[in-house]
Amino acid sequence: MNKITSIVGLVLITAAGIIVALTSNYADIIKGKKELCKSYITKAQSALDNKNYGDAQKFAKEAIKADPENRAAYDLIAEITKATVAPASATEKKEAPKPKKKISIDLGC
Amino acid sequence: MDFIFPLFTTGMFDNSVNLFMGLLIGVMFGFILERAGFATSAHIAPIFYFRNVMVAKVMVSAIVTTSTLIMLGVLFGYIDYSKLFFPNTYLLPYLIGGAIFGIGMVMSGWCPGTAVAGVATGKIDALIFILGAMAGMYFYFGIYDSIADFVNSTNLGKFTIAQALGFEKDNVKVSYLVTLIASFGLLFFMLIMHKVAKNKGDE
Amino acid sequence: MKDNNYLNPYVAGVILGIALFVTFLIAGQGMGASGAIARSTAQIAYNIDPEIAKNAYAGKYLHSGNALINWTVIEVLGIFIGGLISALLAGRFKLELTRANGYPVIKRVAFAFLGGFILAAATRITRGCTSGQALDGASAFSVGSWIFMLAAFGAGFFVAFLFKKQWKGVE
Repeated sequence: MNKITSIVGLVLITAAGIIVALTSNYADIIKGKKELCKSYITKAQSALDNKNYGDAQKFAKEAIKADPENRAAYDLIAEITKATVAPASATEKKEAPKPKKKISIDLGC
Repeated sequence: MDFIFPLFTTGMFDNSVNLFMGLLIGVMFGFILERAGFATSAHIAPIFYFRNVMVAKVMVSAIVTTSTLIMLGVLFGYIDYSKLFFPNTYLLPYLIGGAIFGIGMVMSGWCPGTAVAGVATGKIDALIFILGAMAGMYFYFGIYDSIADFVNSTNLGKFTIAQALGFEKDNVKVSYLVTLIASFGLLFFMLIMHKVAKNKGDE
Repeated sequence: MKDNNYLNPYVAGVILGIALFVTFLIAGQGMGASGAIARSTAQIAYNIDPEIAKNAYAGKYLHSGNALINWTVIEVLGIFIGGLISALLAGRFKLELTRANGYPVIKRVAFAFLGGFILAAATRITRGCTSGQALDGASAFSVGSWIFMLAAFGAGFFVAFLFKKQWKGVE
């Protein structure tokens, strides 16, 4: 029975390894998306600094599209909307996810 | 569509209420753990020998139940899946770390949650386990700097099953289906192995 | 194992599943345990020597004040209380060191300690334990949780024969 158990173990570890191997190419794709998002944020920020609100908003939206998990992108949208003041732009306002009040964020369990 | 849940992250109530709820939730968890028989390593370690498959039965039932409820909640619009918290997926760290975890678990016969319940029921080996765990944590703090690069590598973020199969990240139907198949498959496998182990008798 | 008044495992699992779902609804996260151990260790270490706050890892727990003011830590306190209540109600509270008859106490203690040691360090790498990763993560459809589960149980099965004698005849 010991041998069988160990073989089962080996099979399960191999299965885990296969999943890792198959999904590892996502790592590059996702890293690329994060980089893309960051570059859009930089562009949006500088457009905002130059009071170019149209471009700023465009870049910020692209940033969110590239990486929907990046908080900075949402914060930027909120900033841009505040800066533009005009009520007409309120329709464009994206709802920023509420700030996570819980203290343990991604330290899991 | 107005999402109502999860309550805390959508700002329904503040931190101290959330902490109090956490306490209640923990009490419920600990109670269930002990009721199911998890507060003793005598029921946990044997799964690694296919002698007692309670762990598999409970885990699979729990995963199936929770994922069904989550899927229904998302499908009917009551739950905002993007606000649901689960850890990021770090490919290599989980593979290696998971293996080390498994070795520690079969060696000691405990895992953190069950050990806490174990201590509450007087199991001395659970207490020793937790002391060892704290020592291990401290050790980890010490070596963290040297392994930080590895530990933070291959991060796919909140990587869902649907995403891995090339679907939209929050396609819960696909994720759910795969989860069901994998869970029942594993349970079925464990039950078969349990029969095999019983037939082989005492070795 | 069909002893005392233990819950049927499937029933227990379903109840646990519902409880976990409710937890997700309320707190937006699932139940966990290893994080509480990490934080307790950090806090105790801090009380002994505040230098630890400079540690790249432990520092994360300590920078916002007491590391123990945290959902998972409070929840684990609850686990203790809940387990105690259940054991007392069922008359199952008993001081004992679980091991096979005649198995050397010192070896059992050593394995319990060492197992805890490596497992704990591993949970920091896996960002969770069986509660946080396997239960919570798999229920939320995370791929990493499955990698963790397969690797953990796989490795466990693989080396299981080394530790078999501890459990011979244990109920």
